[in-house]
Amino acid sequence: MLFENPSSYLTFPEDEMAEWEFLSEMTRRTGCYLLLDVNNIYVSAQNHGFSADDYLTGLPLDRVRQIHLAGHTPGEIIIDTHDREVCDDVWTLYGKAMATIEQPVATMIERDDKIPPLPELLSELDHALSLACESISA
Amino acid sequence: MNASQTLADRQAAFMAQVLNDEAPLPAGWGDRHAQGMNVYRGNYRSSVIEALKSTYEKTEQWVGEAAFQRAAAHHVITNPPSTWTLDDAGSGFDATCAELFRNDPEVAELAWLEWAMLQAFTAENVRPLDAEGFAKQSAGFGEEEWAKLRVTFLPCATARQVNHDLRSIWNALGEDEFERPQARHDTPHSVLVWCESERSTFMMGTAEEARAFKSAQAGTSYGEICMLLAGEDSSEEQMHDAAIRAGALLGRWLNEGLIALIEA
Repeated sequence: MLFENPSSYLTFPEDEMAEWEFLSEMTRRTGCYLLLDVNNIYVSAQNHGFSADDYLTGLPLDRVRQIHLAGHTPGEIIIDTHDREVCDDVWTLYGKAMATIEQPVATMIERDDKIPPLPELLSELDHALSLACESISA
Repeated sequence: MNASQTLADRQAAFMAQVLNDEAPLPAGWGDRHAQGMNVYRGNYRSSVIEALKSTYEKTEQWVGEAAFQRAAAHHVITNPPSTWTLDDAGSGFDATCAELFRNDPEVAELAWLEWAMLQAFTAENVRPLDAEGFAKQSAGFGEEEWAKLRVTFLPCATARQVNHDLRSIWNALGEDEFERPQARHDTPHSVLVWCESERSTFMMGTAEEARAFKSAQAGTSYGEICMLLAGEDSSEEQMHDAAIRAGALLGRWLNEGLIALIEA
């Protein structure tokens, strides 16, 4: 069973640990795996002012079995809308994740709305493939 | 929200915030929290509206996308889902349509039909009694047994009285560009809904059929249904006619595979 990290728009004063600490503890206690949504990390990091790199390095990446990429809507609060291209910062974060993850993982680019012409989607796919290949050859 | 609350308390408080735009924010929350909460509110409502669009595809086609969107948004606010599944989000939408489309009463009937068909699809599967089984079970029936006969319908079967020809509306909506049929009936009719071979279906009938069906479903015996159809202070001839009509209805329900079992 895989659990996906969410995009979030609120934090609570009662929070006892960072989200990545919670996910780490959850995988440790249950043996579950992770579906790593890189865009969700970026969205939550922007909304709550934490470091996306800290989130990534704080996770047990050996438990990741699938990765999601997506676009978001920018603003004072950014929203995980799956209706735009993947932004540069998310590609960078994805590259960092792929450079660390050693096991085979599948990557999916989520696009639910404002679907562009197929060549644009294929171009994003090529980019994901090239980053994955770089991580293998490094 | 405070530290002494349980997780369940916090979840309930969060849900109350999601459901009510006017709910005061917890102490210590500022504009940024308010903006964040609005994201959850928007996401919640759009998810439920999408569920309604999926359940009420024909109703949306009939009233148009913009009108449906308004009705669905109203329904989400006035009837927030209260069960674990989004499948239930459409519960009561026919009543919302009756309230919002007062000048187009066929809308509520169409919405009721779509909801009934969804319920029929997810109802318990029970094998219908066939004509041979019915004949075997009723072979030794005398007048008394026929009078006492009670019918149990399939769990998926339901009926109601309607004032529009939902079949003609339904068929017209099968086309990409449809012409609105003249569907208003001068007198009430009925619609019966059930699931046949893992596919929900319906048929139109007389108002009398809906009355008889509901009575039978409530446990009324065949003899009592005959009297119900004949009306109060009926003559012998009227009783005879009613018995013929009741027999025809019983035969139709049997042939359509609506009956699960009979007992006398």
